Amino acid sequence: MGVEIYGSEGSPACRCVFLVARAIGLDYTLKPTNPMAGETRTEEFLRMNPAHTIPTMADDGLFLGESRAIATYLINKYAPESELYPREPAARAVVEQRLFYDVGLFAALRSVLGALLYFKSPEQFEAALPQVDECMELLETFLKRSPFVAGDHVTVADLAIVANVSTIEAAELDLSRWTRVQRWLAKMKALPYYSVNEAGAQYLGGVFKKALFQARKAKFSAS
Amino acid sequence: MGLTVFAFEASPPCRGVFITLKALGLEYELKQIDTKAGDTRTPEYLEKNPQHTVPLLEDGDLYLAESRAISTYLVNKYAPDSDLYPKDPEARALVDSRLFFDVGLNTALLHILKPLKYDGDIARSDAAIPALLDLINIFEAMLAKSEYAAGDHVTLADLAIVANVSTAEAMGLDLSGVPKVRAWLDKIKQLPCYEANVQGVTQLGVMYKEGSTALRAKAQ
Repeated sequence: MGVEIYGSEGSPACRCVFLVARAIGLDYTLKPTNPMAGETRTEEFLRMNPAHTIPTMADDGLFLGESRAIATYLINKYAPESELYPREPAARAVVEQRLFYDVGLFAALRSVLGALLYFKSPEQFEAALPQVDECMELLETFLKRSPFVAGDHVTVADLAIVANVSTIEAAELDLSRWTRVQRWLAKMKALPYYSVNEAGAQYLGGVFKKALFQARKAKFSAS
Repeated sequence: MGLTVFAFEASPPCRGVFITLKALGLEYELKQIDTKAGDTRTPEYLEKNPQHTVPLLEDGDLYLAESRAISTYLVNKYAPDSDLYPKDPEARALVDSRLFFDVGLNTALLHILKPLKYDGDIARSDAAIPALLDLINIFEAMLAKSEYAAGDHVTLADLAIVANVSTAEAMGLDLSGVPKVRAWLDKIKQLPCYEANVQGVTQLGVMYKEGSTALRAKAQ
């Protein structure tokens, strides 16, 4: 049966897992699952993952939620020698610290997206932007200290973070202040397996741009 | 030289690290940090930790932020054969998954505590309680499948999650609907390493109860 990922192409968390799988040459089956259509709230799904989130992974009787745990599991299990997740404790710790940073990055991105997609509020969107700026400033700082986010080569932390940063770029939020982030993003896009992230990033970025346009138009018409 | 932890006791993620250090029998020096007084925003601190958070671990040249990354590092480095963080990929993955789930618990807690601590906004604080209880309900469902947070024995997942769940209890939040969580909490409290959580969680519980009671009285 192999590894199955319940999720969607648009979801940055799912794209983190796709990137890691591609990077280590692991085949997987995507089981399209749409949380907005209630598909993570069925009894069957909740049995796999009571937290009702995507991605959820099924691998030969093991069911796992949380994208970054899925990503490190795939490496530990199927590519334990991979440089993507170094085994030396201090090097691994820095990767993990960046993975936890990425949780905050996604939270900031979700606040911005949510403001427009759910609350349709340009004001809430503006209020949420500083969170993204703060995360980007931190990423810029990490990249001052090393060429990739957790050291001198690509790790699972870069793959998690690029799923989110590529979405921010596709949404046409302003990254111009962050020169190292832009340079890093270009390097990431040049990776041979990067393409699995592209369609989803463009899709979600496009959804966001459309929602921003609608919300601003509504505000303009109302005034 | 040894380990140094920059922290304050009331903070749940700091307590997660204290519990882990005690469970591993590791000595460390505690450097008290007062975030409200700006201790995490000095140029010196930012150089060590640009995320300006606690806890922060110093181990030789390594400065490590993020409590759960600190805990897994301590096992990987100082007790690599410990059951607290099994090496088997499947077992480890379950612990990792619960550690990321725990981030959500802490975030939900902060949404209740921060409006109180920084803005005196009881309405916003109270409005955030259901979201935390939702997550605790999810944890209840997780405990239906395993005796501990990530399997059949204590792991780093239990040590991290207990810092947050014990805080919810100390705050007086309604845990009547989650019997498995309460039973699990009682079991974890029996562990010798839990002692490292007690002072801080009591402090935070009292602060919340006094602060929220006062603000609700004022609102009336």
